[in-house]
Amino acid sequence: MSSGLPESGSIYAIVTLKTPQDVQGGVSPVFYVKTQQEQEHIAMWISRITGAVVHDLHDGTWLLIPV
Amino acid sequence: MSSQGPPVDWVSLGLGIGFGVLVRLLLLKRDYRHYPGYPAGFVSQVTIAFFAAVIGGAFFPALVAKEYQAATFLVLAATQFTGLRKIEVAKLSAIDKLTLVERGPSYIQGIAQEFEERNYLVMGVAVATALAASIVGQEFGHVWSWVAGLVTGVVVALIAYVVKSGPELGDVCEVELVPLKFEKGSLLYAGPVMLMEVGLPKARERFLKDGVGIVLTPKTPRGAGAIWDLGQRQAIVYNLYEIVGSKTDIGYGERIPICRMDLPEGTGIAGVGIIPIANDPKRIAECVRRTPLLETAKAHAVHSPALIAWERSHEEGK
Repeated sequence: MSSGLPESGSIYAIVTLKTPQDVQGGVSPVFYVKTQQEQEHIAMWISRITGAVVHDLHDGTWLLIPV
Repeated sequence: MSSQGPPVDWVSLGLGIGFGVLVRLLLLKRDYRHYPGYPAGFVSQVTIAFFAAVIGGAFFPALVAKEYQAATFLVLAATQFTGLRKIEVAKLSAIDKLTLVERGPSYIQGIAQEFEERNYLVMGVAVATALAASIVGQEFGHVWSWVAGLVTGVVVALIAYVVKSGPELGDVCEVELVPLKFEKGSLLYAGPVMLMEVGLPKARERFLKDGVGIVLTPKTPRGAGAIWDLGQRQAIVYNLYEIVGSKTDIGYGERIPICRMDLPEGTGIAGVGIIPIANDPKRIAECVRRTPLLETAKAHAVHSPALIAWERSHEEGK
């Protein structure tokens, strides 16, 4: 797919319930959230804006990966 | 042809061209389901087929009239159809760059190759018809030339029609519609096949509400080889997207239809997940069954490890 989206295979953003001590950004930005509701909200917004797809690591951290 | 030569055999030439174009029209009816477009693509295909028929129809009369130069030029003209394939590939690849679901290179090559091949078929029909009309006409006269041309034309056209309806996925795979489900919270499954991880709860709700799962079980080794081929799987997904639609857009990447194999076991079963616009189970199943079996995928099947594994397990089962 080519529609102005970033290259697939990289992590676009991280949305996590964990603390900055546990999860730190390397090449991708990290959004620290307090509740699951906030996590859903932020992740969905970034997904719809950038076209990245949300994946759940099931440890409180969600990754946004470009398609 | 020169004015000193024998008179032009209009009957064989006309019958050859006529049947050539007729065959192209018959074959065109079947593939305008996906391509070419209507009416521009249709007109250009029929025009090119007319040229092919002229080449085929004129070839034998030119030889008989000892017009070897003319015959050589006709053979040269035939090489132009390779160019036609290249144009088709370029056009379809360009379109593929801005679409939500790609046709994929294998499908594009398959379509283009078919277009080229069909012109050769037209040429073949025209040659056979003109040849029969010409030979019989020289031996038995004008009336029999017509009869021989018509009979040969009909027979060859029928053969061409039968030969061209190539194998479809339904011939080699069992297609079954199943509801989509989630396991371990976020893993999307179609039957036994894990398709992908869906992180957003809202997206999961959408898949459960509107999504359709399809399970493909190979019936033959060729089917087993075909669905291991990524190009073939892309063709399945593309056909679905084109015919029943997919409720997706830019920014809704998780909704793009997907086709994956049953792993880690590698049983050779494939699963498809889609959120169709036209949620009609009959049409969805029919659409998957009628996906053309790609030549590239067929070639794969001959030496694919999947094929060998499938045959082994099949023999053990007996």
